[in-house]
Order: sequence, then structure tokens, then C-alpha cells
Amino acid sequence: MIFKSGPSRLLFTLLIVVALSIAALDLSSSKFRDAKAYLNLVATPLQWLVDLPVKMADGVSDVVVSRATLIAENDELRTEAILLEQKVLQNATLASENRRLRTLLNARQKVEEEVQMAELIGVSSDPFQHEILINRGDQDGLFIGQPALDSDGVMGLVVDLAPVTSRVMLVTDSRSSVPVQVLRTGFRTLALGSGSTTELKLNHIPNTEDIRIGDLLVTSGLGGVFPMGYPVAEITEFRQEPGRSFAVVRAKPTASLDKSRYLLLVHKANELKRLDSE
Amino acid sequence: MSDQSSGGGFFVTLATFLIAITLSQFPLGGSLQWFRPDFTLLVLFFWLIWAPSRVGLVYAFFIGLLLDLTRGSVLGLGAFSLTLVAFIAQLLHSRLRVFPMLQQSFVLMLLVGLNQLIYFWMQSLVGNSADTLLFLIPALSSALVWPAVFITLRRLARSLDLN
Repeated sequence: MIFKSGPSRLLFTLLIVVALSIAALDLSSSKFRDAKAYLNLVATPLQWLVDLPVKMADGVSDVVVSRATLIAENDELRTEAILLEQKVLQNATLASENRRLRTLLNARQKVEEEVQMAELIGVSSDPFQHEILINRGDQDGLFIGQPALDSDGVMGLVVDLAPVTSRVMLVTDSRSSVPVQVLRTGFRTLALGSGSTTELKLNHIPNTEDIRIGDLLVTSGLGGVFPMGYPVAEITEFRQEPGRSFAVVRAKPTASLDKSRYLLLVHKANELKRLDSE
Repeated sequence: MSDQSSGGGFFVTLATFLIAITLSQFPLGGSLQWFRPDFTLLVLFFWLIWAPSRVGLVYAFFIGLLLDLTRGSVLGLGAFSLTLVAFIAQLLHSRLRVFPMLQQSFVLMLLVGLNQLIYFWMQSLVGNSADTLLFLIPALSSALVWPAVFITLRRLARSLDLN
């Protein structure tokens, strides 16, 4: 009676129940998430709008860049191209050698992965959620669980799709874990996101394990999400604490997670590799 | 006449919300993002006080859904927390209207804090656990910017003769 002029409790209860059921559906039903891809389209214009100032600043700096800088950059790129070409030449011989050895071993052939470029258009505003938004989506053939790389290593994987955009969860997100192996020794483990943008942690590593600072972690291909052999992180800390049963191991992602504007999306996270490494 | 002005009011209100959501997603560098005021809630709070007949629970619900889609959180989460916050604001409405701005700021701080708590609580369902209380800072920063937001929006609402 007192609240007669107040808000409608019936409406309130109804809306709360609807909101919670939507949340429950979103968490549990994969069909609902497929449908949500189209709902995400509603938010796409807003997300473009957010990215607009950054885009414009980029455009301006492209226009006003000086001739000298362009020449210097051009030279730099040319040297880099030559270096890379030389590596490719070596790669070709290595690949054929590898193929021959594999036939000797009766192992399956490795299939080359197709990649697709995407551009970053947004970052998550929630500091606990390391996600970025890219300008490729469902219509470009992306799928949930697709690995994303930059030129230096693994960035993360696609977790949410819309027709023309998608969300990539970075490897440092606290939900993320990447199956890796230490390149030098072949030791397999998981690199877990720590929630800090510059750090991954490796849990349950025995104190006696042969891991050194500077060791490179590459994807092991186990788990079937990330293809094998891409660099993930570099060990920055390996501390044995007498009181604990496991060592404290930290690593720094090789990909520039907070700087890269262009991403590569790998198209065949192929089955063959997974079988190979098992 | 009054019909026409309320029609225009709908679009202006929607525009302010869209701007707020855009601001809430705008990339901020480094630790600055901890201090970002909850713009969506600030705008919602204003319209709940200013135009309670037009902006209510249903409005809050749909703005919450839009916010969820834009920021990629669990769908329905923003709708839930904004509806709850709007309900509380409506319960307090007759008092809020006559409160001085400082006191409104204080209520707003509590509401933003509540909203943040619900958000991080529910996000931990999907595995994003917050291990610091830093996420409560927006409550403080929202309260600090409230007078500026209120005065700006009031000027807008008055100049367009909305209510």
C-alpha cells in the first residue's frame, strides 16, 4: 500500500526473470549463441564508431609522414624482405628433407595452413577481460575456437562471432590456457593466462625440470585448437622455492598483445598435426 | 504538442545512451581504464530522475542488453543489473529529486558500486575472476563526474524542452 505510487514490482520481477533466463541460455545453449551472432550485428555500428578516432589518427599520420621516413622505412623493409627470402630458400630444402624423412618414418604429411588477415577494431573495456575485436566474422568463414596470431606469435583464439566482426580472447586472459612445449627440451605443459597483459604462468612444474630463463615456448598442437610449432612465450622467471612442491614459472608472450593491429587467422587447425604429435 | 515532444525525447534519450555506451567502450591506455566512470549508468540515472514517466525499467532493460552486446559480456547480465539499479533509483525517486547534487552523487556511488559488484560476480561465472577490489574505483569516479554530467544533460533537456 505504501508503495502504490512507486515502481511496478510485477514488471521488475518479470524483467529480472527474463534477463536471468537470457543469461542462463547464453551460458548453456550453443544454439542460442549461434543466434546471438546475428544479434551482435546490432552492436557492430557502435563498435565501428568507437574505433573511428583511432582510424582517423592513423589516416592522418599516414598522410603527413615525411619523405625521409618513407625512404628509411622502405630500405628497412627491403632488407627485411631479402633476409626473409633467404630463410624461405632454406625452408624449402628443409621442408623437402622433412618430407623425405617423414616418408621414411611412415608419418603423415603436414598440411600447410591457410591464413587470413584481420584488423583490430576494438579492445575490451573491462580490465579483467583480455579480449579484442577484429573486423572479420562469420561471413569471412571464421569459427569459434579459431587461432589468431600476429607476426611474432600466438595472440589467442576466437570466442565470439558476429557476421562481420568477432572477438578474440588473448592468451593472457585468465580463462585462457594454451598447450605448449619447451622448444629446447620438448617438455610439454600448459601456458595459463594470468590476467596481467604481459605475463603467462606455468603451473605444476617440478622443481627439477630443465627450464631456463629465455627458453621459448611453442604450441604443442595438443588439444587440437592451436596448430603446432608457433611461438607463444619466452620464460622470464624460473624460481625454485624450497617450501613449495612446484616451481614458480612465468613467461612473457612473444606476440605484441597490446600493440599489434593486424592479426593472422589460421584456417586449418588441422587434424593431421594433432595425430602426428600424439 | 506533448505527443510530439515526447517522440523527439525518445530519440534524444536514445542518442545520449548511445554516446554513453560508445564512451564506455572507448579504449583507454594502461591503468587509466580502472578509473573510467560508468557512463551508461550516469546517463540512465539522469533520465530516471528527469523523465521518470518515459525512462523506466523497460528502457533500462534494453539499454542493458545493448551494452552486453557491445562489450561482449554474458547476454542478459547488463540487462539484469541495470534493471535492478533502475528499480532502486525508482524506489528512491521522490527523495532523489529533491536531494542536493552531493547527496545524489553519494547514492549514485552506491548504485555504481552495486552494478560493478554484480557485473564482476556474474563474469566470474564464465571464469573471469577479479582478484582485486580495484574494480570499485568507477563508483568513485562516477560520483565525481556526476555534477558535470547532470548539468550538461539538464541543459540539453531544458533547451529541447524534454521531460
